[in-house]
Amino acid sequence: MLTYIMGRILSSIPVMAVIAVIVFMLLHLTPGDPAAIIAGDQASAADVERIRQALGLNRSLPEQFITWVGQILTGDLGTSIYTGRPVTELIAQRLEPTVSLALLTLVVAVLVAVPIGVIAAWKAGTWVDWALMFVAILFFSIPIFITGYFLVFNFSIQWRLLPVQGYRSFSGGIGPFLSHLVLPAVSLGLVYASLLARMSRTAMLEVLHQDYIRTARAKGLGSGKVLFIHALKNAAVPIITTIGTGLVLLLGGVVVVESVFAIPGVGRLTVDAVLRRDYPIIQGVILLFSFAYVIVNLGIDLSYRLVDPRIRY
Amino acid sequence: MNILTGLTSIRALLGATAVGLCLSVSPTVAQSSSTIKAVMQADLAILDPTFTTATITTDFGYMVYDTLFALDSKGEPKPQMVDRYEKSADLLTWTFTLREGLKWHDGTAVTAADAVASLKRWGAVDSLGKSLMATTEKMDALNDKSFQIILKKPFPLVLEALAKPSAYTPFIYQKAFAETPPSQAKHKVVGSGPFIFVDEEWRPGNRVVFRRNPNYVSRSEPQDGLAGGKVAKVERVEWIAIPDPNTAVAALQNGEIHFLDNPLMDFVPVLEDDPDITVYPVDKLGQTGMIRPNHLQKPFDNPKARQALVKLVKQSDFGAAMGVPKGHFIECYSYLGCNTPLENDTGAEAAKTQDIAEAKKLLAEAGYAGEKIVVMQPTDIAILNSSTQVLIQNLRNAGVNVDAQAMDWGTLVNRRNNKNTPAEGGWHLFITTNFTSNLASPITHSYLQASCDAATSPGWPCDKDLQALTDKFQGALSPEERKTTAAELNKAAYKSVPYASFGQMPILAAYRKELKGVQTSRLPVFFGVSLEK
Repeated sequence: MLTYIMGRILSSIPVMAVIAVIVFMLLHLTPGDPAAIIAGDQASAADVERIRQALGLNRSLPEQFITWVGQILTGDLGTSIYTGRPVTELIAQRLEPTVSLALLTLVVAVLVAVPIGVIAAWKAGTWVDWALMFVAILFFSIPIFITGYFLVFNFSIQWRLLPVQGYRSFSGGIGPFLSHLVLPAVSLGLVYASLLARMSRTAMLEVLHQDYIRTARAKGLGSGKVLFIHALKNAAVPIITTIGTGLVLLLGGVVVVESVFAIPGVGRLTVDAVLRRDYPIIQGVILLFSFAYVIVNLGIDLSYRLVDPRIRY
Repeated sequence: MNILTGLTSIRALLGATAVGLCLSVSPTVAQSSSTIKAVMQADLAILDPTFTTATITTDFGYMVYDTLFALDSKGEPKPQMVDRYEKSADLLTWTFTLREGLKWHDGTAVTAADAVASLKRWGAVDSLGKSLMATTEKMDALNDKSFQIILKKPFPLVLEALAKPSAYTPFIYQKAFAETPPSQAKHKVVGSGPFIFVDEEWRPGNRVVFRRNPNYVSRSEPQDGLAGGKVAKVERVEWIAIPDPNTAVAALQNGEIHFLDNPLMDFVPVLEDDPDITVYPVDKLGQTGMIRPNHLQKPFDNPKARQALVKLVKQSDFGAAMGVPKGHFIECYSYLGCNTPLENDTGAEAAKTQDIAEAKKLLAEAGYAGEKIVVMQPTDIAILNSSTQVLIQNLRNAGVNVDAQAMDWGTLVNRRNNKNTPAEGGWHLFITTNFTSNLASPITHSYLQASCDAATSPGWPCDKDLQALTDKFQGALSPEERKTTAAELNKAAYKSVPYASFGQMPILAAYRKELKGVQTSRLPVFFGVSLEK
């Protein structure tokens, strides 16, 4: 097992290297000049050139790439072109809000979606199934920002129950922490839960038609035991896969939710950096996300053994 | 139970849950009464006001730094850090003496040497500063408190230059900081202004924190615009970054922030209807919209094609498209801005009426024969996006084959520096806005420069007659002479059309009723502002 894990982690190194090259090239070949953006609208061409030289952006691409790779190998992701702050520091400041939001969304979505998927499969073809899947498709189809504005309008502006925006650290108390994350997590969670509910239903439907389920029912086991003990465990592999890949979907959704709810997370850091062409930050964040994706996939693969002992590594 | 009763019960249940979650934290202003929370027009990213012309960095400068002179509400330069000044009868020698008690945030005294070094750094990058430095024979500190500027020839705008409110503003830095070349951004902030930047609490993209400078010695006069006393009346000011304009407005309505700079125009009527919120013009002169043609590319290398642009514009249409509320938009036909000392509409008669047929005729006379015209459309800035759409439609109405290319502002500011043909990555037209205060003088009006060299702004106008009038203005010493030259310049500009204006609009801000003492001062400043419960 340990050999397998080490092998998987080591195999991510060439993947990360390829990603690094692609990200660097894509960014530097994309139109847009941080020097022109920094200089501002009033600046002259001479101002822009002066800033470009000061930032080293007039150096050749290979030269810039080698400098960047050299920094990465020493664990340094560089400094922001704008703020002059280390990229690692900027990312570290933003991780807590994003991880908190993603985890809360995940917990809410799994708790809501899996039972819905199981019930829909159990009642397949009935009005219950249709109603649940209609709601799932509806929420999956509504853009996250629409849901977000709707929730803000009602819960914050009309009823004044929850804050419109912002983030409070967990260290500042569970109340403020949750009150600031409820609306963003629900906005994001509805989409994610819809996807997960549909996948759970499909996986469960397949399992419910297996012979051993028929046998379990014939032996007189109750519906609850059949569904949640025998069927769900065997349907868990595709559900876990969806949860894992959905995490990546979550990261995409986090970008929108963090903007709508002004949560200072990694998603907003990325958007701001892209709009400003703050290359070191974009490169750092993408490398981080790529690594996170590799680790999440590894975690998913390892978790299969927990639900299916037949799987061996 | 009817539906309404049911909804009420659900609402009560949700309310109880939410209140439980919030515990003691209310979403409405839960902060100390001595902390102003403000959302500014952009997020602060660069701390050096001589490194960038970004407005937010200038706003930052006014919080933590100080200036030798400052403009009052009438636009007159008044001493700020300067206690007194003398000018010789021939207007060649200017001697300035700093006020007593001025200190840096690290406790050391502000000296005349700091001022001289700062002016030299500013004079290397700012257009007005460069003009002043070009006519300066020498500038030296006489002692700790006094310095002298000796000019080669009289310069009509010495005090105006030292009080320049928009980028680049001549803020006074510590000498060591000021001796850094302006091409190198400084990230360490030691100012002498009424607020101290709290570096350790700065979270780029999230919040900027300032605390009151207890050692700041304010002028004794009452605050008047950016001039007069700068009394910090609150302990802290926090600039919160809320990138989504809807969320920012909701946060203001909900009392989570106190001040919102430059709200989206669409929201202004909503905010004006809220009894707890006041909308006011931060800067009455505001900004002016401009359609900038590329003077190097056909057909806009021909003045007739540029005159056609003027004939295509109906300024009120642009105002409506940008969502500027009625009463705030000014149709303006003065290249030197409206409500400015040099406002005039000489030579603008033909521009006041939209005439698509005439525009079509002028384009034909300029040799336009249906070639693709590349219009760069910045989709991420609402007012520029909507006004570009009006321009595109007007061009199509005149039979122009428009190639509208959508892009973000970051891409546009890069591409507009490209002098190649549109087929090689160049462009024909783009829209921008500029602070009217920058346009109020031909010296600071970068879009009016037509010197035929690389130093002009993208668009690269080349008109020796127009440029001669700008140069003539620099030598005009009396107000009458300046006004006469300004009229000649407006007439020449409507003939040459360095750009076509599409109106002037104020820069608005909104604040909650708890804030007292907010003034129209060209920039959103927080000295003189208190927070009451």
